Amino acid sequence: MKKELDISRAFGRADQKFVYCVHSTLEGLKAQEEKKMKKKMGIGMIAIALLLLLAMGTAIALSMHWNHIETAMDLAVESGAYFEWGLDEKLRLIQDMKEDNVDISDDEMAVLMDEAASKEEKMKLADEILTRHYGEEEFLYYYTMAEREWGLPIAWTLEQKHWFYQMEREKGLYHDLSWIDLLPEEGDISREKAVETARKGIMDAFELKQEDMAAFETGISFFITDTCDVPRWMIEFYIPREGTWQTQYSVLLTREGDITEDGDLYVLTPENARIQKEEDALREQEASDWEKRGQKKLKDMESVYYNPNGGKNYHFISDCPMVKKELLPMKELQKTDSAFQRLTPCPACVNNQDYWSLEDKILYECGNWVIPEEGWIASDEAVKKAREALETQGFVLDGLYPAVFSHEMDGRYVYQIYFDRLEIEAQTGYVYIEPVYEVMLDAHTGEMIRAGENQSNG
Amino acid sequence: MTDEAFAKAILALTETMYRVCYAQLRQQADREDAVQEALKKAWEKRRTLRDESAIKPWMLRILMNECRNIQRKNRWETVNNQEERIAYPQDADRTMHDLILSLPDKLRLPVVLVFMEGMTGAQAAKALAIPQGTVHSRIHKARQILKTKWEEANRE
Repeated sequence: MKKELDISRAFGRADQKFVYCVHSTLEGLKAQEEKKMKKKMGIGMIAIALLLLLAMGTAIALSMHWNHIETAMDLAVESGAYFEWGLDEKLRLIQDMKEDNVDISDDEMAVLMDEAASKEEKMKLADEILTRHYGEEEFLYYYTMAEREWGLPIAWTLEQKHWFYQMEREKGLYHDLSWIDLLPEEGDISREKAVETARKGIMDAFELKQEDMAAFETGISFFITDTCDVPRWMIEFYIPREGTWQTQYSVLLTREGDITEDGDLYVLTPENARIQKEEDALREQEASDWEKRGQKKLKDMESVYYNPNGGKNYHFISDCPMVKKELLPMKELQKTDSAFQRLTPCPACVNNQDYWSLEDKILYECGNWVIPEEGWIASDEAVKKAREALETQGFVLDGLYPAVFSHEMDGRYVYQIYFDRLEIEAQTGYVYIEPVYEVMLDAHTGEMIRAGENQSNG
Repeated sequence: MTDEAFAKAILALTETMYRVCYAQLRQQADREDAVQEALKKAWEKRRTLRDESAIKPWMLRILMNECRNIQRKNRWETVNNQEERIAYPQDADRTMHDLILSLPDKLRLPVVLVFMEGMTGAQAAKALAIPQGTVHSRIHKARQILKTKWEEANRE
């Protein structure tokens, strides 16, 4: 029988480590962001709030049949991702699911509990049950379980939000203390009243009609933050999208039900909408200014010199080799300054150390390079030779940036130099690299090993 | 787009990101480094992504860029380590695996994006930052190579 040419299965499915890597990186970034955005809350107040919530948590879990989700959280702490769970872990979760009235047949339970059944058989059945309820294995963890059962997190009830995030904190799965979901108490306005007030506020502010509002679903939160220990309401009007949502309007209400604003929490108001529009226009104007000078702009002018995020790829302005050479000593730059006019994107500051000289790379410990020894030609000289070799062949190098690497190959040291075209995405400031030409030459003698078009992808 | 929505949209691209990484990097650790670095970059820039429908080519372009960075820094390790053992993914079609990886780099990525990911020529062009015509010609060339090799492999 003739086999069809089916490319789709060439690489198989993503391995579990890769999937876990994506998950954990995103979770880490989310947690870091939330931490970064909020200021520190008074420890005492948090401690009191947590103690109160803790006591309520277990009782709620039992009465609402959420024990199995708590178990999944415990398993995440004890055993990690799903692919690391053994049969015992899976059985523990399934038993709790059954107790919480999740639909698992008695026949299935009997097989799982049958001492005569093989481990493989039980494992297969456990996977079947869990994936049937919660989707593919790589997405199976407590958060997606809750989503499967309760729907989009924005739509969770106050009780669900309060219980879930509190449990996460308690088990050390989530460390953010800057936003804590609470439950309203006696004397607080009702949820219905809060939603109605917010809806009316949006309709008035944006001149919307009742039928316009019909397009939106409503999400509700009652919470305290690290900057405000008095509970407030947040009502969000959103449009559900395939497995996610887009918030269109959000309204902050005081505990008493009055519409309010908060600099730390972005709430869409007519004034905020106006500011946003003005900022957008300004950015567009700035981009076109740069365009007129024949240069593409980075996201903002500061990013050319200094990235406040820190980290190994970033540095203070005074440490930036590219800036140091060209522009220091610097003062605060204005658009009209000649230094600013001369400015070209500094690859160093947009996380691209490839374009530093080899000496700077070594100085700033960026990567594992073969350090030039006595007898090597200097990297500047190597770039010059590379340029000459390509130009002799008729290649045009205008506007290309040389990226220098050093390696040991077959017992000799070589410089490998790429001439790259950099494209800076106007909207994001992200730098894309297209290696156009590639040169390799002996680091001691300068002997040309190869020079021509880059053969790798692009 | 909320952070949550952004994270979800990216999570949905996990399999795609895996295949794009696999097409460019042989070592598992490198693939993880690349995706981690790309996610960090994408996260930093997420607020600037206005067109939500463009998230896939946008994310893939960042990822391919990171793969390329790792690829060329590692090139010499590969050159000096020709005997590198191939560890096939468990559920891969081994013949097809070898065929795709035998394609030159320039042809491999368009194949992955169009045939594996079902992207249109225009979408692939956007992700690869090359003209649409170039995508089509590379695809055409890749198909010819694959077809010939596939027939040879099936004859053996």
